[in-house]
Amino acid sequence: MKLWVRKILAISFAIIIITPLIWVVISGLRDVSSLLNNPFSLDSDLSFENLKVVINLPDFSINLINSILLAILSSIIVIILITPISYTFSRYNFPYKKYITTISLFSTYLLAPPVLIFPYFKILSQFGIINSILGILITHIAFSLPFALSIGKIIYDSVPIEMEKIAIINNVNTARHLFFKIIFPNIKLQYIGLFILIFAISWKEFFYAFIISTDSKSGTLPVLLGTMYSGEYNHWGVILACSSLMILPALFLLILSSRIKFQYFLSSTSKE
Amino acid sequence: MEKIRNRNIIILSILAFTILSMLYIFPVVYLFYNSFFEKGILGGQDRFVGLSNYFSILNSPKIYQSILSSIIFTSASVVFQVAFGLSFAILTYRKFKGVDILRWIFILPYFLPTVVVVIIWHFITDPVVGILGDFLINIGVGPVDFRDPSNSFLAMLLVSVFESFPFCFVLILSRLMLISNDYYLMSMLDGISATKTFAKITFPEIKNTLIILIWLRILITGIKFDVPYLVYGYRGQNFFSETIAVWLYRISFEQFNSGSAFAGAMIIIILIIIVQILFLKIFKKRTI
Repeated sequence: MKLWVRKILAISFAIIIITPLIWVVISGLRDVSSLLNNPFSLDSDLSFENLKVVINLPDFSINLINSILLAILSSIIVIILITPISYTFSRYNFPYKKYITTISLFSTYLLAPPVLIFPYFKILSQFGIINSILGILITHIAFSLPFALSIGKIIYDSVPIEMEKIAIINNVNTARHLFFKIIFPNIKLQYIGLFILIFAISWKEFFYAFIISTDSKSGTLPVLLGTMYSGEYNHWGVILACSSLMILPALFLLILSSRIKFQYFLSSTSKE
Repeated sequence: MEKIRNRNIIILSILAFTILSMLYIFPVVYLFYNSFFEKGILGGQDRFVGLSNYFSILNSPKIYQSILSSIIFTSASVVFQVAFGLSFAILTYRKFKGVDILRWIFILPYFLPTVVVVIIWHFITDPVVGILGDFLINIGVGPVDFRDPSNSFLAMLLVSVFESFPFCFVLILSRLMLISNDYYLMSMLDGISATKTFAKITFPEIKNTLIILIWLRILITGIKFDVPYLVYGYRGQNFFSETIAVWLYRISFEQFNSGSAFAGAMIIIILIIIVQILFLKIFKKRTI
């Protein structure tokens, strides 16, 4: 395929993908009556009425805080957990390593949420943390841990072991020094990619939050939007405004993308 | 130094094993144990019923129907996910100006919650307000109701492909970028056609990645809850939207028949493990 054919095809596909998102964001910022009467006129003035309605919904602010808190906490905890574990998987041999690695790498795919929810629900309700952000946090960690672990192992595999050996010869003799001064600077950017991935997994997760939060106070934004969409409350303007609020972080990534080279994101997700 | 290292190995392995067993092995054992009990009425003691949960699940036609609809949905969806991911990866794996922004656009849907994807496509195809709605009427398809049960399969397909092709795109792209450019240079110098270059160089290089990717996508899509539920499942029952996950949800959280749900979940786990072992047997020589 000629390069210009590639370019044109890629650009047109990209436009097909991005147009619906931008269309929804624009529609969310418009007045409902003008949206229904004349959907295609873009010159009608922007109104923030719908956004105001969304923000003033009784549960919106608490669900937004829940969502952000969950995403940040679960990515930080998962990264702290996987750092030693994936380093161990990558560097050392220990008994039953093969089985433990396989179980940990495949457990997300083998034990999917719709199956695992039953024991989790029962155990969490016995501890009395059903219907709370703590319960959802535990399930989100369990959900993204294996995935993060497999990526973490790939990240550490990409750091040459010779570097550590040279550092040890040169009198770097505490584990902390070795990690923070020698290894970590090399994988900083991959860690940013990993952080974005885990953040996204928790941010868009629906099932666990939907089951575990039985009252609206402990729900997350996808649950709020899901119940709004599936319930009787069929007000396009408000639903669109809420969706456009959820699309914005993704579009924000596009702006960030000039800073984070795609390469680093890729190297953090590459499977080989 | 060696001493520090050995001590660290032991501590870290114990840590790893504890966390993994707490999060995965213990819940599965708990699930297995509880699948032999029937939930006591009004907070009473759980009653041991042996295998009867399993028998009642296997005797109901719903499980076979939900497995069938899962298989239909998964196979259709995975084909399109991988096809789109592969073609976008092939379009953007060579460098040109602005390729980074195109790649970011191709993974953008990965960051959208399923609800938002459902709303986007419902809104776009809406006959009254959507941009595609008028177009669909004009080309003779007629007004499309996204919530119509007869459209549920296509709607599920659309949503699941749109939200999961980025995963395929990223995996294939990262593998494509590992192929040395020298191969392409050589084939260009020898005047080999683009189709032949793809068949002889590109495809053999990404074949293993494709197999593993398809496998992962089958496992993930096969037991997905949010797509069938949010497209149609919340409104009622329909052949295509009653997948395994929705069925398990219904017996446990709508009919509160937790004993049967536990047994059903156990059966699904066993099924997945059997299929997984078969896969490993067939593709044993390929590395992951």
